[in-house]
Amino acid sequence: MKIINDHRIINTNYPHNKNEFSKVVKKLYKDNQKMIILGGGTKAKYGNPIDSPSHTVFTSELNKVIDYNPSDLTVTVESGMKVEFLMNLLSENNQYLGYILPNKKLSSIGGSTAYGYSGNYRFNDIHIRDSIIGIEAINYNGDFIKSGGQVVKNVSGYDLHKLYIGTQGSFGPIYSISFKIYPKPNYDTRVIFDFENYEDVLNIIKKYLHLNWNIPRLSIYSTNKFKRKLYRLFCNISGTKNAVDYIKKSITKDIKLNNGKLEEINNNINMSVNLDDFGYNLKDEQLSIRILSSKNSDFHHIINYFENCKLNFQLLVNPSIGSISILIENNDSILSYIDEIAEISQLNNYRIIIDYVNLSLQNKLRNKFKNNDNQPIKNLTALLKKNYDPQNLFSSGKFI
Amino acid sequence: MDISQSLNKKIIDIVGKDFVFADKQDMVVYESDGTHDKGMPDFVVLPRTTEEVAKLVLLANEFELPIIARGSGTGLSGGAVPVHGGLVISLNRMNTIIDIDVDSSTATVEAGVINLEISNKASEYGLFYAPDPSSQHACTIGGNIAENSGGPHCLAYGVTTNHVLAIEVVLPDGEITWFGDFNKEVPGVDFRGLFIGSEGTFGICTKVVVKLLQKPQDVKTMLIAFSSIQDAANATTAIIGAGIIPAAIEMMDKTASDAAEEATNAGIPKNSGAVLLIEIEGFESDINDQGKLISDVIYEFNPVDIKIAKNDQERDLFWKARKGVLGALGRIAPNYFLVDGTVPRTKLSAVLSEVSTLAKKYNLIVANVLHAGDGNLHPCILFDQQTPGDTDKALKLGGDILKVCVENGGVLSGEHGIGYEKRDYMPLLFSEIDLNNMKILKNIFDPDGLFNPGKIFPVE
Ligand SMILES: Cc1cc2nc3c(=O)[nH]c(=O)nc-3n(C[C@H](O)[C@H](O)[C@H](O)COP(=O)(O)OP(=O)(O)OC[C@H]3O[C@@H](n4cnc5c(N)ncnc54)[C@H](O)[C@@H]3O)c2cc1C
Repeated sequence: MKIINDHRIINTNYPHNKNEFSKVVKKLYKDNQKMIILGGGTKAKYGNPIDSPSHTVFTSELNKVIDYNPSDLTVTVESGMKVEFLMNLLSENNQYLGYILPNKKLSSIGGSTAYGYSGNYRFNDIHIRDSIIGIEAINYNGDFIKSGGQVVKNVSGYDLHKLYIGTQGSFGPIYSISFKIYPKPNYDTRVIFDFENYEDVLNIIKKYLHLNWNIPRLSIYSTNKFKRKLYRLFCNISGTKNAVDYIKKSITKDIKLNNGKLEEINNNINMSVNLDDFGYNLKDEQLSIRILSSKNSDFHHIINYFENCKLNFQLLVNPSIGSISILIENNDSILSYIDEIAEISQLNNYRIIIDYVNLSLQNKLRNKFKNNDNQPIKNLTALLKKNYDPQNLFSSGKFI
Repeated sequence: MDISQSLNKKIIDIVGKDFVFADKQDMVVYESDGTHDKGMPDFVVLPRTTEEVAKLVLLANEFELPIIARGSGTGLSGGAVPVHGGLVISLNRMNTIIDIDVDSSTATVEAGVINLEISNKASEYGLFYAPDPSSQHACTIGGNIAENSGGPHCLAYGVTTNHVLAIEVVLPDGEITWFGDFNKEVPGVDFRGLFIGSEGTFGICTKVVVKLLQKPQDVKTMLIAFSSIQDAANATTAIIGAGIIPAAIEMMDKTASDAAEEATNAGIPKNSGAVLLIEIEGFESDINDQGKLISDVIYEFNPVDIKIAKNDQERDLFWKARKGVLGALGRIAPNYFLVDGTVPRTKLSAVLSEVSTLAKKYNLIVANVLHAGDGNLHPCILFDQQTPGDTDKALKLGGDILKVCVENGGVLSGEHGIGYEKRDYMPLLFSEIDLNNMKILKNIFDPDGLFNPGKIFPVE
């Protein structure tokens, strides 16, 4: 048996076109075969492992643009298209998705959709769940199901496409995806400030958080690798030149008042931290988790915990998104640390997502982080799975 | 005691006798919404709390009575019309703004709160709620959620779903739950997203947490007249194509803008083919830059007049004219049938030409009002229902216009929903398989089919 990205694979399939894709899915389903759909395969290590050996259907040959007229500000592509390809295509017309999907070289659009995470750069709080305006999916009979469309406003029938975003393939394969897209801002500048005190950096965040039209990234980075306690604020300011200059000036002034220090101002910084891909492309001994708050939280409990524990960590707080991404070097007693992190999260009503973990840890962590969904949501989710995947063959065990 | 009396008594036990109507004359206003569709409910009830709503739902289940949630009844697809009778649950008494959280820029409100009241309250903190349907002084946030409503400023800001973080829902089995979270990227099924736009068929929304935005530093509002509707449409496409996204680009054709001007004296140039109402927002410096860019782009399309609002009063007047245009059209004919298609922005001009050809064919006046920047067109078919055959003609023309929208890559509804009025057009857009998959979803939420029956799905 082959192992791909830690998955036990019975067989691999590479459909070359829409019809082949549906035929493969139909046949596997009819034969009662479990299947996992992979784009770049980059997120296969994310979340739970699939629960039994599966067939893999790779979408990498399904990578065409189906419809793109820049003046419509929408684009429809096949799900196997690489993120970078789409970004470049849009960029040629000075357009973008409004967010930067992580791991763009390897990730596919379909995989990113199924994973549902839009990264830590967001123009106007736009994220993949809201920017997808239509999906064509394949059901267990191999039939195509259309939901949404290629227009930016649409209340025609149910938004079935929402089922496929963030559910890791549990309801079936996605063939094509339509996005609402945006003109790129004329300027996008990065500014970096250092603070010694977490409270000080939070003051800045509070003041500028609402400007996410113009500040698509406002992230605080910290690590025990810094020689002293330090919080590095990464700020992307975007918009017209006038707006960018205005905000940069205002923020720089406020930083001084809050004991911050300008680290660098440069439009082309070679940063030691890869913000776009934070938590991706990890080594086997690394673990990456994301903690989400259900309120606008400053995560100071988590910050305190990491500052006082013995783990090697890097973390990125994204207050506008309500999340903190943490990269931990695996060490022998990681499981007891994880228990403590789970406890703090439980107490603060945070939710933990395992973004990346190696196989040996994956199974051990499986039930560590309780998901506090209420009973009606659990019941509805189970009913959806039963109806859209009656034999439990799509991404089995991955998320439900 | 017959069934109806015993049910009446049980309803009174839940909400008190002042908040139940069972007499036909008391229920006439609940018979219809903003459309011509009609259906007499068996009872109308006005609960005050989520728990009361849940009890009413359980009761309706017991008596197998259809349940129709209702906000202000401004809907334009027959969504709140009790076409099979039943229990109309009006949310109007659940109208408290529970909390404005300035730190996280959110508001928690009951579902019966009027859209505009959220912005009015939030403005005390320099904040506002972005989706602004033209009916915002009357419609409820619950109705907005059911229809995923839009509005002029949704061009830049996005529609209801982009601004709603969480909703409290009474499910068809009477359970109360919350969908959604501050964080929209929680893995798992996006029930919040599925519920928004489900037109009251998945349950009743009772509370909502919405995102608030900071008011822009500055605003500039322009009224630009063109000699033809095609020029106005092409100018819209060109502005968007040039990478400019104003806060709003609204369009009125000659019939609509003349009526709006007569009603408001807003200063809309008379006898132009069409006008665009364009609003830009942001930093003062941005606004000047954008204004210049827009002027450059529209220049190619022969604008005949450009007016810039000199102050807030003039700006309000421009908007009054646009937002009140449907009422103003009453001067031309007593009835209207409003179509709500959306097409790709580049197809606007072609589709408007076809609308004009169809209007001539049917010999009816069509006034076009558009959220043009979003490609959302509202051809407003004017008629007199007293004239024999006109109502049918208007409905047929509406259907033909929707066909044209779909043929041009568009959809049946941009913001008003399918409801009762457009349900039979669904096969134009969706295959039987698509519709069956939607029915599966409906069945998961509402296996007994009691929630807003007769809506969305075509009659079999
Ligand atoms: C003059 C005019 C201008 C308009 N302009 C716009 C516009 O610019 N943009 C736009 O999008 N719409 C517009 N509309 C349409 C209408 O105002 C919206 O659809 C609005 O959201 C309806 O809200 P309502 O409270 O009146 O809902 P209702 O008409 O009472 O109900 C509409 C639907 O929502 C359901 N519903 C209501 N409350 C709830 C609830 N709490 N839980 C579950 N379901 C519920 C009902 O069952 C029904 O299906 C306009 C209407 C008019 C008359």
